Amino acid sequence: MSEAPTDLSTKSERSSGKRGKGGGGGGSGQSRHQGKATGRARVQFDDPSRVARAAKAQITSRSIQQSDVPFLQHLPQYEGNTSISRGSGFGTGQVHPAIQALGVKYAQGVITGGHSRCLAFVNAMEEVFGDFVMTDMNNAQQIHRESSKLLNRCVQFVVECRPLSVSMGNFVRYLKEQIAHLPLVLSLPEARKLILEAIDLFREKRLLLPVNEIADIGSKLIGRGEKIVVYAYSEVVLNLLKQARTMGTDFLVIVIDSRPLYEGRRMAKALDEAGINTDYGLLNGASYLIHSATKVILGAHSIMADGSVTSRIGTASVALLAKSLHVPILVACEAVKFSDRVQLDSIAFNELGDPLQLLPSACERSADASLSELRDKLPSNLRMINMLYDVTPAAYIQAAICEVGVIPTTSALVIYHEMSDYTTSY
Amino acid sequence: MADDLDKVSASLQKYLDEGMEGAQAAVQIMINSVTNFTAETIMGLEQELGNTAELIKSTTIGSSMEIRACLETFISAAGRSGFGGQPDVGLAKKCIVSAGEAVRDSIVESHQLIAKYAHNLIQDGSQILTTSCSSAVEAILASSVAKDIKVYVALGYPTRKSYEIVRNLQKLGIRSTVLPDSAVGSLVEQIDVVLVGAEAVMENGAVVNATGTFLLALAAKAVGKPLYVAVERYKFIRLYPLNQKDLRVLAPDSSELEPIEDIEPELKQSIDFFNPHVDLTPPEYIQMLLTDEGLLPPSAVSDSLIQKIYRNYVRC
Repeated sequence: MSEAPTDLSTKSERSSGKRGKGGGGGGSGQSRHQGKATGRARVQFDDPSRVARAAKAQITSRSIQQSDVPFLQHLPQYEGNTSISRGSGFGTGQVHPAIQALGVKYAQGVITGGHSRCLAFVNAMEEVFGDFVMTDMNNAQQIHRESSKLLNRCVQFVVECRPLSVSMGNFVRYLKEQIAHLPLVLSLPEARKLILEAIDLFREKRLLLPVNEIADIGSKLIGRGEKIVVYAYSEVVLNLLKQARTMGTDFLVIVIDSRPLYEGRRMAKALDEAGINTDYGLLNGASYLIHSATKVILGAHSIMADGSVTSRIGTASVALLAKSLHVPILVACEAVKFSDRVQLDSIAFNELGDPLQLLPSACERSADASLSELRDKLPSNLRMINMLYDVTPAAYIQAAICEVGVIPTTSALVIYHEMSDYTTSY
Repeated sequence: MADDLDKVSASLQKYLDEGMEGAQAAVQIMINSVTNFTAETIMGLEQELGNTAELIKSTTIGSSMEIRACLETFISAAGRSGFGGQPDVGLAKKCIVSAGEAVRDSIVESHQLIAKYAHNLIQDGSQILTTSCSSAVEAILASSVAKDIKVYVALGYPTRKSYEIVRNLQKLGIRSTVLPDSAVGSLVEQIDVVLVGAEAVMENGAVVNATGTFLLALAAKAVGKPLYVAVERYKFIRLYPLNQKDLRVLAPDSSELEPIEDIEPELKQSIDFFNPHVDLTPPEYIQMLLTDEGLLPPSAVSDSLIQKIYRNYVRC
């Protein structure tokens, strides 16, 4: 709970113009708390001292720089093409190869989407702990210390490739909790077994089962002849629509897509393969497309404590349009994506994509040209903003479909707290 | 099966004739049936519990949203009583019965509690607009007799149920002004609060009440007057209609109503009537729910339901 107000305070400090040192005082408490919670604090990149501290802890040689857009300077701008594994090595004490491979896939956008990213991370961590060995004495205290060190290192590496998603953060928190509550007397194989069981439990109950549950619950909300609007790509929404089709409901899906990722193409293709009637259009034509719709079903990156939804950039515009046309908006989201943070706008926390993706020729640019080289060729007063997420206020959303049922998004916090009480369940 | 249905129907009617409210009667029937169960296993007990609830729901009286919500409350209370963990059926029955009696008693006490919590919301000389007849609203108004309040009652055409509350208020010495629903727009600027009851409260905090309530809510919103809904906690139900059409699907009984029109029969034959029994007031129109658990914002309904029903389910 204490995180919510700290986030807000960081935000207000920033907007009131007090930067650098002034903001650091309020932020350090936050970083300690979040460091405990997610394994790593979110570094405010307009605070030089904290950037320096973060650089020291860095494993990879990847350069993470400050964005050149003034109001986004607190967010990291990830360099596009540097070698991630360079410097992290393959020797003993280094990052597990499964994590290295995963990190590269995150950085290059091979694995995207909240569900797939978290699932891949859980699988990789399972491998990491499956290979967990200690050379010296194996007393329980050391096992605790070493396993959390291992976890922290993996998280650090992954974060350097791409910031954690909310669901991944929740998984890290869960795993830390599990490690902290390991019995006080145990051997290494026992510890390994318990940790692997915990990981498996999380994967089954928080990632795989919910997708099916949501499909079951959500597909019943789709009636015959309905016109459903979806935006970009969402694994959960796709599953839901497929399930509705399997149940024999006849309906039309309107996929709205946008530059630069064109994730909606993937959605439209998958829907078409599932035998669902699909229309496809771009965000700039959304007002026309939503006009005749009966429901909007959106995926989410996270549902925040106040019920607002962070999702792929453009979602808020779709929601705003739908709201103004009185089309009910549903969000399909597993409870593992619920967060106890509050975010009032899309700027305080966000992820910056490669700005050069916005250039029409981005796809043709040579693979080895680095971001800074390309940037040099741009007009000096042209700055590009490629944010990945936006925030949809709770008031726009009629309901969230999660594995617990159909709930108002404002109740996400209650479920978050019910579910984060891991200690009693294990 | 049909036999059982008749029996349940008859005993419901009997309790109602004795002056019980519908929800109270339903809970009493549930309690009675638990004591008379012949099931020999706890699993069987659970099944019979569900069957009786279904029976009550399939009677004409029991099909209302209110009674459905009440039965849901009963079953969740029974579930939380821990009867599943008892060593034998006798003890399990006792658990359910005492949980059921607690529900029944809370229904009996609810109106007094609502009136107590809502006391400070009604100020001296308030002008209050209401519609239909709700015993919770009546309890609040009754406790405000000394405050020199002025009550306006929208008629709730075509049911004219509103006259019931007018009659009851008159007995308490409160003189009310009755207006047709069409006059709401003309009156609303001069009133202080809109206070209505509810048949049931949906999971998102939307209120289902006699047709005309939504119209009052719209009018109140337009002129910036608060809408309070006086409602007992047991009326919270896990349904999630997104709009009026969804509501008519969820509560099919609510769409049928005999039109009362003094017109030539030939004309009546040749026109259609749209006469829904209830309408849905979305949560954004509601200032506060006045319940026997305190004053709740509409968004607290689902929190309350989740905590009560899912406590044992959601943990990873």
